[in-house]
Amino acid sequence: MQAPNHIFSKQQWRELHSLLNELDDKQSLWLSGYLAATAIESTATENSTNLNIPLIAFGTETNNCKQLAYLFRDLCRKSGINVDVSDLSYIKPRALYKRDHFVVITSTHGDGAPPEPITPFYEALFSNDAPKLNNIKFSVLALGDSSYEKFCATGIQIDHRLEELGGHRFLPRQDCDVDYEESAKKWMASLLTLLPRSSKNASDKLHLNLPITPSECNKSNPVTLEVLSNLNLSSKSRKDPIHHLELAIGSNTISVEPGDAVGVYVANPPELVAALLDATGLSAEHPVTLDGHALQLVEALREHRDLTIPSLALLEYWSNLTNDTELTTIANSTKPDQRRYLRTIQVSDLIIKQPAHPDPQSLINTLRPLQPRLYDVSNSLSAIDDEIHLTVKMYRYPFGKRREEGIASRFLLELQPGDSITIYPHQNTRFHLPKDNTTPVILFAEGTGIAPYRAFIQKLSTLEQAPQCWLLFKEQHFEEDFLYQIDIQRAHINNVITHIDTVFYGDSCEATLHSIALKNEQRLMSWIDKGAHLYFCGKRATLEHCESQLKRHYDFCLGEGKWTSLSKSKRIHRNLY
Amino acid sequence: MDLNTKLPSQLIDNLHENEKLKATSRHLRGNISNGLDNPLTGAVPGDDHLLMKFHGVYQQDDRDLRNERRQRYLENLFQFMVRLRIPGGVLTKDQWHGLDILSRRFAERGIRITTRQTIQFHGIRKRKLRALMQGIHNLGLDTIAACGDDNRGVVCGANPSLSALNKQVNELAKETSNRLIPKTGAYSEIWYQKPTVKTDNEEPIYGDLYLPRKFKVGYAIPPINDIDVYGQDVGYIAIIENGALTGFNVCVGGGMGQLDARTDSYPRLADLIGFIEADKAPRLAETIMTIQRDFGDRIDRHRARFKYTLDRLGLDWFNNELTARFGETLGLPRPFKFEQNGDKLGWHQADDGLWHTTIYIENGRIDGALRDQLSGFFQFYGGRIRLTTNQNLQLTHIADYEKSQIQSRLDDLDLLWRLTPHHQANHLLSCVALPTCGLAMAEAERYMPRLLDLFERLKARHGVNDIPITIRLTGCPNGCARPYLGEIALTGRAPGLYNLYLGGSFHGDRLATLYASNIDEETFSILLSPLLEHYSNERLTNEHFGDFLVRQKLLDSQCTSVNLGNPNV
Repeated sequence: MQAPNHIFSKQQWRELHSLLNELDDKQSLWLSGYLAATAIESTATENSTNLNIPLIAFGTETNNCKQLAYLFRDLCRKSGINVDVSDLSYIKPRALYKRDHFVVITSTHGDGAPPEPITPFYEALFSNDAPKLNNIKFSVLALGDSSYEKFCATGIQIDHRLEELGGHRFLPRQDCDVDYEESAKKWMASLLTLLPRSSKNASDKLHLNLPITPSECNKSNPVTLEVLSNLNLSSKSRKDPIHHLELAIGSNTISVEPGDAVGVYVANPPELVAALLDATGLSAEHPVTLDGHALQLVEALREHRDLTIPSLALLEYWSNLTNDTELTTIANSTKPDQRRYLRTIQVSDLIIKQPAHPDPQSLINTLRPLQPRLYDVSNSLSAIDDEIHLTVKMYRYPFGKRREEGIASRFLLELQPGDSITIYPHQNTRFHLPKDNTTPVILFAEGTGIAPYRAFIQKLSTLEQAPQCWLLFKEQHFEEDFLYQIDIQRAHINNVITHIDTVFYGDSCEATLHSIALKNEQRLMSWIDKGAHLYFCGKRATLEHCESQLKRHYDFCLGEGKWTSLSKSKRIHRNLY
Repeated sequence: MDLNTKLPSQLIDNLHENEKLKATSRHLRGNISNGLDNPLTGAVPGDDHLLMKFHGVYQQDDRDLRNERRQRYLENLFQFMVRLRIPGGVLTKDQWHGLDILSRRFAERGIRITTRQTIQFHGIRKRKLRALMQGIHNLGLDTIAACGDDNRGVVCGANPSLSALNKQVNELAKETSNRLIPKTGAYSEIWYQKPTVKTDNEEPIYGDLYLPRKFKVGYAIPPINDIDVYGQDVGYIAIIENGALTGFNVCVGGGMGQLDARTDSYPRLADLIGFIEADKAPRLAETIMTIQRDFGDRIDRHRARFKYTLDRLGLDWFNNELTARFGETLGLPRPFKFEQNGDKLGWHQADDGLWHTTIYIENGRIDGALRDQLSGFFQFYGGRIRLTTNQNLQLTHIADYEKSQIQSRLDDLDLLWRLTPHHQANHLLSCVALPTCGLAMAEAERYMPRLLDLFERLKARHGVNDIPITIRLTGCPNGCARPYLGEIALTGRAPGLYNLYLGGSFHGDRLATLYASNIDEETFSILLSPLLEHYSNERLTNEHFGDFLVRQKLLDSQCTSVNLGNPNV
């Protein structure tokens, strides 16, 4: 075999070759797969941690630009330059500041429009709040068709915009017509001389996210983060939509592990606060004191007091204030009777239906404090280190004869990009991944129960050796409610998720979570036998039913109490709500 | 025939990647069955969607929703278009009834009659595909080779006044289709889940690589050129002497598709090369197909159509090769005459006394109330049904005593006006385009009503609203609605922008010329207005718009009138 001198040193090649000679077929096959898989990992997209590796990003509809991007990657490798290749549709402009070199290869579609798949990137890049890209060196290869008036428009626009945002054009843009190959290759040749060689590009720059204040934040020392985006993952017609929120960590330090949650400080809806102020005739600006701090009544009501569940103290205070016979009767009854009554009303029922004129401070004192709400974090900081993602479903519940909306979910769903939100990290130590990277994991989720698993999967994809992972997921409709479908498909292709089984009960009423697990009974039993950990996350009733069915089957096969002993040895993890 | 002996330089590795895919597909099996069962995606993973075309199934997605769904972390909304194989377009009323039910159970947007005389269902979801295919099978129909690099559904024209002859030609069209479809067991394995016994020679005609590109065969019965015979790879023109079918004039090498970005890509009218006796026509089509199989370009897909093979190797070479393979020389072409390429409207009585009429269907789309009206109508209907290449529905084989009854039932169901549609409306063709066609760059079917309205007003302004002018509208240059044969054609370039072609003939025997590029609706009006005005003032009696433009040299003298060797000219 000829030594490929431009890739290996003679010494390396000799050693490699002598090792290769010793391998049998099976070993060779394994090694080729292993190396190929490693190569795939190194082409990871924005999640890559090798941030000073040049990023080659393409925008395409017909795959011409994609082919050019991969051609260029191969040329780079031959020259000993390590690069990442990614579709622009997976790239967020705000993640670009991490890169030294950003190379764009894009076509223009129709009369000056960007290739359809890159629209999200394009819109974000041209939005008014696009990030500054002061440190980035960029170059653009634009493909177009000169029979259109707006020839190469997308490439030209991106080229100008990157400069406008502070980037440095390290090689002038090349515009290409339908016979693009020659001019593209010339441009690539120039580019090759300008990109850093791999040995060097590891030491180029260390400007990343140095923590400014390393003080740990917690419930009493929460942090305020900016909302970057708030996307509805569900179809517009769904009554209880599920949203995906992305929050910027910025200069804050937050430590959350996959499986952890954050506590979110929410606020009451403004119209509910206004209705209470109207009913009581109190002035919004009236000063009150809360935990030793002076603030206005409206702020206390909006941000610090629970306006949903009434307290015993409020019941007593209100019955005294109104002298209402019914209220007085209840206020004089036993505590259990009082509690039973309070479960049938909300604060607004009491205050708006029996109006009175309370003392502002007494009102504040008798209302319960508004508690922060816990939401599972749906990203892993080891993959996306500067954001916190949340997956939030609109909570609607029947109350008496009406339907109410959950205060917290409504607050979160109405947040706009640019708004602030106050949070603190909440450890969920009983819902972490197993310490040992070889332990298989079986993940059961319904709906937003997928959130911590998305963090798990992101974490697993950064590991050199990831455990076997089996995801079982339940939602309404395949077409509309397959949460994070693209992420999950990619993880499956990259073998981070070994198996996925889904139940879409809106499409077919046949299957349940436990039945699809038991359909693969052999796998279930053998994985548990190998020491697998089982995770249950999501709506309590569904997941508890699922677990009880699995337990029944498991105990039937292996003996009474076997499931309980799995549980006792901390191999069953629950995160139910 | 061994491909490598014919093309020794073209080893599979050097061929277009689709050729490798076919070669390794185990005769169109690929991994389709597993892909259908994969619950993680609504698509068929990998390249299998290319193989599925050979089964008559196109993977598409709703392009209107792509962006929104990507933001929602959802894959594209994948769905499938299923195209039936109905050689000659003839259906029984029971088959119609069955297709109607299938469209309600499985499809979105009803039933679409295509420009190749068959039916397409749109919006089928993956998990329902097999059930639909089995439903089609139960009606005695299939979808094999309705798409893909093979012989597509064979089209067949009709002459409403010659009943027995229609039947005779239609039988030949059927025989041709059955002879030329792929014989692989993959189809029934995948869709009917019936294991087949594999033979060593599963595809005796096609071999492992099938054809380089699609291949289209059509039969026309003069004087109606409804199938656009000069647009077919192999076109047969029925020769009727003393009321009987003697055989066919043969034309080869027609094709519409072109690519705006390539100058070596063009639409081409077929060449008339000779005459063949009727019963030999199916075998002749097969022979011509094997020549294209062995000599078509398998490296450059854009140049793979038969028309380019002919132009590359020459007509003389082709005729020699054909004689050698077929074993006899073709006769001289015989006289014939085409009068129109639209459907012959109104009631017509055939030589056997049975009546025919045509129900006009806008864009071939049968959905909503129209589907219900037709469903109601066919419940009490004794005749047969024929789909036309102008996307209409013909009622055939109606006895004298039924005619008035049918007339009043059509009236009752508000269908009667469709027998005498406005002239102009019956001379439009459009393809599906957005949102489901992956090739579309602009709207077509969804834009047609607006375009028609605009055009009618233009014509009215210049007092020519009584004269039909053929208009073809497509979302891309590929030619599904045969744009280059229209008197006026618009082919999509970008949303709202089209290339304008003018000057095709009303009979479909002359190509239109590119008149203006990248025009919008307003420019369309501005460009056409003076031409229509001119036409209104200067036209000869019965002169069609396309012919007028050519005679008056209004097309910048770019117009090339092709001599078709028509003995009547």
